[in-house]
Amino acid sequence: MAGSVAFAAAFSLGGENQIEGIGLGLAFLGLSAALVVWSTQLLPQTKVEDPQHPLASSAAERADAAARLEDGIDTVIGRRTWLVRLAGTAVAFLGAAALFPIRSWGPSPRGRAGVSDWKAGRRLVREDGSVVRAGDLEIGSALTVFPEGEVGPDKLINMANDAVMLVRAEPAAFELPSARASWTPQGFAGFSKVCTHAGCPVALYRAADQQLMCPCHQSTFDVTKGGTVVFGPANRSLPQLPIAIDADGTLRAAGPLSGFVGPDTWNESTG
Amino acid sequence: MIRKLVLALDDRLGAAPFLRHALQKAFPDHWSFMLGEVAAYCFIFILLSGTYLTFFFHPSVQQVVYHGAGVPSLDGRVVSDAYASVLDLSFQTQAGLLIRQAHHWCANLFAAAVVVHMARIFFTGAFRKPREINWLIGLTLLLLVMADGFTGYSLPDDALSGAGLRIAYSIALGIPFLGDWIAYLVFGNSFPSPQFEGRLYAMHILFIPLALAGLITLHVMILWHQKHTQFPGPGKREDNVRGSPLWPTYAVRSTALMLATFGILLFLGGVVEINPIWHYGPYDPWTVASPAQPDWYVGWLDGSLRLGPRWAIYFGHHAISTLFWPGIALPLTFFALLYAWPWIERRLQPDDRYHQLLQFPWQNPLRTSFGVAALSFAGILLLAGSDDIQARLLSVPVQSLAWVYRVALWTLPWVFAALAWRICVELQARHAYADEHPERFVLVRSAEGGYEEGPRLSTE
Amino acid sequence: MRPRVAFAAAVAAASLLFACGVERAAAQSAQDRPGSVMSPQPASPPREPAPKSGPTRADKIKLGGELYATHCISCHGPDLRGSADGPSLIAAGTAAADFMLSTGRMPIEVPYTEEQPGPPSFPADQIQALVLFLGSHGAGSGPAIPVLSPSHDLTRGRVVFEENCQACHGATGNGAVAGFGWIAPPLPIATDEQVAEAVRFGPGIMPRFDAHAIPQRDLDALVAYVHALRTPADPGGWSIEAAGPVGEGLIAFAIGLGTTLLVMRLVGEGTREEGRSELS
Repeated sequence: MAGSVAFAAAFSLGGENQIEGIGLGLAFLGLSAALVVWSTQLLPQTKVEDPQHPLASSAAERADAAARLEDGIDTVIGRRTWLVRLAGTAVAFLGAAALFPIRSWGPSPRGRAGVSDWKAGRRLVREDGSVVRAGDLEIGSALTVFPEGEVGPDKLINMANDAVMLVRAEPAAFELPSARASWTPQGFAGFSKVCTHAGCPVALYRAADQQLMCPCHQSTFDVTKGGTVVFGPANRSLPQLPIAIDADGTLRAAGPLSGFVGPDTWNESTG
Repeated sequence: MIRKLVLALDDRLGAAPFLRHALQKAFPDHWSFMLGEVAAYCFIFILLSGTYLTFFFHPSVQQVVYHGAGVPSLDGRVVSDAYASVLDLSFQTQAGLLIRQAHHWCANLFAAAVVVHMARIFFTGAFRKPREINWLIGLTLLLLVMADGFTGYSLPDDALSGAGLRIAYSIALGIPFLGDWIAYLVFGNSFPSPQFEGRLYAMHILFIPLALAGLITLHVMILWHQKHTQFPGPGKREDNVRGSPLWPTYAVRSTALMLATFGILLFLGGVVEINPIWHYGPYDPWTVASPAQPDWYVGWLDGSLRLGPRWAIYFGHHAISTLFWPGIALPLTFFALLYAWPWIERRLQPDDRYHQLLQFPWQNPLRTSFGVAALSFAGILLLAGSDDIQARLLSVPVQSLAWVYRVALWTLPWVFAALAWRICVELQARHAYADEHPERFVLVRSAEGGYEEGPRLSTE
Repeated sequence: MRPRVAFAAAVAAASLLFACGVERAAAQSAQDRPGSVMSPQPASPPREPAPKSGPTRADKIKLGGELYATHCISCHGPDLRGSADGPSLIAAGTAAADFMLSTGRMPIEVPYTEEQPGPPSFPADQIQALVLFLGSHGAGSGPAIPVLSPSHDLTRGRVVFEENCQACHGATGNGAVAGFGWIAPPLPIATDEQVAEAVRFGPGIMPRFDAHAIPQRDLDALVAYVHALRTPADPGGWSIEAAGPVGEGLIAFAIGLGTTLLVMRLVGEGTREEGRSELS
C-alpha cells in the first residue's frame, strides 16, 4: 500500500495529466481499499452502546434559566422605558446610517436598464469599427453591428446593450405593421441581439425561414414580422432598429430601437 | 508516546474525560449514514484544492494578450487576465490542470452528496424533533454549496459561464421593488461590470466558504451533542444509541471513505475532462455557443427558465418580468416548503415526541410520497435543462420536447407520489402481517452466529 | 489473518502494475499523439478545367448533362428551373452543387425533406461533370467553388468562427439543434472545401457569407480553424463527447457518487446486519 503511494507520487510530476490523475487517484484508492479491508476484516466488530436521554433539562432548570434572562432584562430596563426607547432609536439610526456606504457599491439603476445608444443617423459599424454598406451583406446573410462611436475595449458595457443582429432577407417576405413599413429598405432588418427573455445573445439565424433563435432557452423570433415571438419563454418581441440607406450605400439607424432592450425589469423606462 | 501526548493535553486542557468519552462514542453503522461524511470530505478536499488554485488565479478582467503554446487558436488574442490565468494554470503549471479539474469535480460531487444525504435525512425522518435545527442548517448548506459552485465556475470569465452570469443578472433585475438596486449594487455597474470579477472572487473564496465552515461545524457539533439517530432493530430503542466505537473502528472506516473520496476525485481530475474553457473561448456579451447549460446543481433552474410560462405583468412604469415565475417564485416556494417541512409534517401528523429511532420510508407514506413528488419535480426540471441536447439525440424538435416537459412537470410528480404511497401501504401491510403471524416465521441461526427472520418453509 | 493480508497486498501490487502499464502506454501515445496544432491541408486544385489527357471540358459537360437527365431532372426540371418537387437551380452556384453532391445530400429520396449528409451517390469525376454542367447551364451565376489557400492564422479563424458559426454549430463544432427540428451538423465530417462552400452559399437554413461578409483571407483562416477542430486539444482527459456540464453532471453522479456509495456499502452495514453483532 505504501508502495503504491510512493510510486504514484514519483510519477505525478512527469507532466501528463492523465498519469498524474491515475497515479494519485490509485494511490488514494489503494490506501482506501486497504483500510476497507482492515476495518471490516481485521478490526473487532463489537458494538458499544450509549444511553440517549431527552435533551430537555428539568423543569426547574428551565424555569430558572428563563427567569434569569427575564430578570436581567427587567433590571436593565426597569421603569426607564423612555431611556430604552431613546437607546433603541439611536441604534436604529446608526443602522440606517451604516446602510449608506452600500450606495457606493454601484450606480443608481435609474435610466440604465434597457437603453441603448442607437439614435437616428448613427451609422452601423462592425465590432472592429468598420462601416457597413449595403453591398456588404447579401440576402440570406447575417452580421452583428453596433452604433458608430460606441465600439472599443473601453465600451464593453455599451456594446453589450447596443448589439444588433443585422440580417438581410427578401424584401417581399416582410409583413410589418404600417408604422414600420420603411424600416427594412432592400431587405435589411436589424433587431436587438439581447434576448428579451434572460439576456443571452440571439445569435442563431435561420436564413431559410428568417427566424432568430436564442440558444440559451430556445426563444425564437420572426424577422419578417418585426421580431415577434414564435416560440419560447420570451414574451416580448425583439426591439427592431429602423434602417435607412444613404445614397452611397452606408447603412444608418433611422431612429432608436423600438423597445426596451433585454429582459423586462421592475422599473421600465418608457420607449 | 501517545500516553505522553494525552498527559500533555490533559495538563493544559483537562482533555482526558473528553477523550475518554469521545473515543468510546457509539456511531450507528448503517451505510447510508456516511453520506454526510462524503459531503464533509468533499468540503475538505475543495478547500485544499481551492487554496492551491488561489496561488495562480488572477481575479481581474483587465485585458491582456494571451501567448501560450497550449491553445494555438487563442495565441495573440486579447482576453481577460482571469481567463488567461486559468489557461496558464491548465497548460503551463505542473499538475495545475489536475488540481483544477479535481476541484471542479469535487464541487459537482459535493452538491450530489449533499442532495443524496438530504434525501436520506428526509425519507427516514431524521429531521424530526430534536433535529429540526440541523435540518435548517443543512438546507442552508445546500444553498451555499450551489452558490459557491456558481460563483466558482463563473470566475474564469469564459463564454459559457459568462452567459450564465448574464442570466443571473437578468433574474436579479426581475425581482420586484428592489430588483434594479440589487442588481446594480451587487454587480457594481451595468452588465458586464468590470468590478464584478473581484466581488465574485471575494464571495467564492471568502464569504461563502466562511459561512460553509461555520455552519458545517455547527452542524456536526449539534449532531455530536444530540447523538446520531439509528434504524429500529434488535437492541435499539428510543433511549439508547448502538453502534461502533469511534476509536478505532469507526475512525478507520471513515478514513477509508475519505481516502476513497479523495482518490476518485483525483482520478476523475486526471482522466475525465471538465470545464474545458479553452474550447468555450473568452466571454463576449454578444456571442454565444450552443448548447449552453450550467453545472448540474444549477441545471434545474435553467430547466425552469426554459419551461417557464410566458406571463409578464405590466402596469404603469413597472413590470413583473417573465423571469419572475420560473426564476424567483418557483425556487423560493420550493425551498420555503423544504425549510418548513418539519413543521408542516407536524401539522399533518401531530407528533411532538422526541425521536432517536428513524423510520423506514415505507413507514410514513405521507412523507415519502411528498419527498418523491419533490424529487421528481426537481428531477424533471433538471432534465428539462438539457432538452436541446436530448432533442438532438432523439431527433425530435426541441420545441415539442419542451412541451412534453411542461406537461410532465405538473403531472408526473403526482403520479409518482401516488405510486410511492401505494408501495408504502403495501410494504406496511406486509410487515404488519409478519408481526401478527409470528408462527408463520422462524428464526434461523446463521453460521456466524446471528439470527435472521425468514418464512417458515415447512411444518416442523 | 493471512488471506486478508494477501488480499491487501494484491490490491497494492495491482495498483503498482496498473500504474506502471499506464505510464508506458502514455509515454508511447505521447510520442505519436497529434499535437493540437494542425498544419492546414494544402488546398485541392480548383475543379474548373484541370489539364488532363482524358475527357475535355466539353466531354465532361456532356456527361454531366446525361447524369442530370437521369438523376436530377425529375425534381429540378429540364431547364434547371425547378418543378413541383424541387427548387430552381438558376443562380444556385457551383459551390452549392459541389457541396450537395459531395456530401451526399443530393440526390434526395423524398422531395423537400431535410437533406442528410452521407456517402456521395456519385464518384468524384461524375460530381465534377455535373458541377461543370450546372455551372454552364444557369447555376454558374451563384457562389462559385471557393479557391482556398493554406492559412496558419488559427487565431483569426477562431474569431470568425465565434462570431458567425458557433451559435449554431457549437463551440467545438460538434453541431447543435437549430430549432423546429433543424440541426446544424457537426463540422469535423466535412472537408475543407465543403466547409468553404457551405459558408459561401448557405445550405439549408444556414445563412450565407460572401466575400464582403467573410473576405477570402478570413475564409482561409476559418477553414484552417475548423480543420483544427477535428483534433481538439483535450489535455484534461476524456471529453465526454463534448457534452459539457450535462455530461459532467452525469459522470459526477455515476462515477463520483457511485464509487463512494460502493465504499459506503463495503464499510457500513445494511439494516439486517446491524442487529447481528454483539455488544462489547
